[in-house]
Amino acid sequence: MKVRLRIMRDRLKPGRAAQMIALVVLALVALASLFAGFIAPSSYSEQFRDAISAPPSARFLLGTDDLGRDRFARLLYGTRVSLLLAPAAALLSTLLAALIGGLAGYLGGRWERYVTSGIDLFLSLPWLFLLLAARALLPLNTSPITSVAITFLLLGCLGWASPARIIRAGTRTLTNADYLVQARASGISGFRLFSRHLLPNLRPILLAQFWISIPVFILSEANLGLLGLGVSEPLPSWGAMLRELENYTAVLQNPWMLAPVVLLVIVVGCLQVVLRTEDQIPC
Amino acid sequence: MKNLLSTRLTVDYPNKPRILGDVELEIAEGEILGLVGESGSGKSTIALALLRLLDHKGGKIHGEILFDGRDLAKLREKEMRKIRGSEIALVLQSPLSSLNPVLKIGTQIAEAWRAHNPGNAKQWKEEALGLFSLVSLPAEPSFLDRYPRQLSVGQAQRVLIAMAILHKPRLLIADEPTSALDAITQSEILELFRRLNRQLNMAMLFISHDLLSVASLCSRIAILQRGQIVECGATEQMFREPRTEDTRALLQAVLRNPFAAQPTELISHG
Repeated sequence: MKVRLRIMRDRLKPGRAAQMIALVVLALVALASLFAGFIAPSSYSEQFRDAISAPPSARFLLGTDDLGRDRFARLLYGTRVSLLLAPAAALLSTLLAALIGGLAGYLGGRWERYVTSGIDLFLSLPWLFLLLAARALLPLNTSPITSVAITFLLLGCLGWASPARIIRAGTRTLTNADYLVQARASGISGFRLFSRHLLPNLRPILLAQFWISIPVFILSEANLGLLGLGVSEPLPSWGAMLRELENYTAVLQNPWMLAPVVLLVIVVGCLQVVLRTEDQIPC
Repeated sequence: MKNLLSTRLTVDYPNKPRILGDVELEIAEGEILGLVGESGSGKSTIALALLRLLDHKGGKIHGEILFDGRDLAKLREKEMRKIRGSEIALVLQSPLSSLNPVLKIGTQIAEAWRAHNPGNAKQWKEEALGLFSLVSLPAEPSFLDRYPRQLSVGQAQRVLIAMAILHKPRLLIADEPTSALDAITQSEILELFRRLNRQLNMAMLFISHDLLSVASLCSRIAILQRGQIVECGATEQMFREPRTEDTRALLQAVLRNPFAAQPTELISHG
């Protein structure tokens, strides 16, 4: 009974309440996409030739696209892909950035110089042409699942550089902290000093880099799709649906095309609320 | 008494060569040596140099640091790591910033314990609680779950001292351990150092700019000025007959009593 009372009281704290609401919204979105097969009236690839570019109706909640496919079904299935792909890629790139940027800042000296110039070089490469070359190396037709895996790897392995810069700078200011000198003076070894004493202090920076990467990666996935490297048709993704918005006269006439944008904003906002409240250390 | 530590130490920083020049210090086993000097005279550099913790700031050490027959200046980093915390421990001057803000007290003690006891890493809890009662902290397991910002400055300093004596070091370097504390906590911490020195027969290098606390704790005092030891001797001797102008200036600055008719009567002129 006592425990239950405490949970009730905790829930009433404003930060907690916002976190709970955000969690519920995220859970609803995730569940809806998970059970897309039951919720959506049709498959994401089925074409209704009698209703091409149709406005919203009872039959098609968000209308149909120019190939006559149900937008609502595509949004649900696309959420499934994007909600898995973007955070996973963000996790990969943030981990790489933490390792590379964190170690560079921690080790200092010439290692830091090498890594910094490495990052600058990486960022200055002509990625458009390198990606086109990469596309040329891949087989012409990849299965949708392979395309998802390739997109994940590309986003994760290309996105680490700018967060690594920020993390290196953050680590640099931390390495002179008294508590690290004190920990070293206790005989704690270099690796543990980095992983157990320094990394937890980088958590706010890492979390920020993580959730900033998610919307960026959702959009990057759309751009990769233009090069033929993103999630491939007919599998829907938010990126693919956002690409439709290029045609702004169509958007003005069919404002329901903005549905994926609305969902993107809601999901990223909720992620931010959940992560920020989790970041606070309990008193 | 046997000599525990004797140094002949020069330190260069890239932008400040000769921050320490031929510093000779000797500490016998179980002795408390006071090291006094103005801000910027190189006191903290000595503390860090003895543990070879200057490389992050780019400091270069020349000369020798003889500790128990070994020259620490020539040891490899791996061997030096084994000495840090287990044979020579350090307490820094600002207690709250010397504890990791995002880790529980217990985690930090466990890490310090694990550094020299990887075999029985579980035992840290009893050890920690035993030391907590020794340094007058609440010996309750719940205290280990606190974060540094839930402690007072005095408590944080006691936690740091408990962590420093975790492995019963033979030498404790305390770098201005009382300068961040109020007068009452200060005298409590000094009393604690005195007790630890007696009970554990632990030698100490007590670094401070506060001559009075040094005089109450240390049997010998060394005076550091501009990176050099200008005077070193028994405490009473130094207060009665300071040999150099620098020492006299230090003593006068401390001992000037605003209500006394003869402000500097403790110090003989001449």
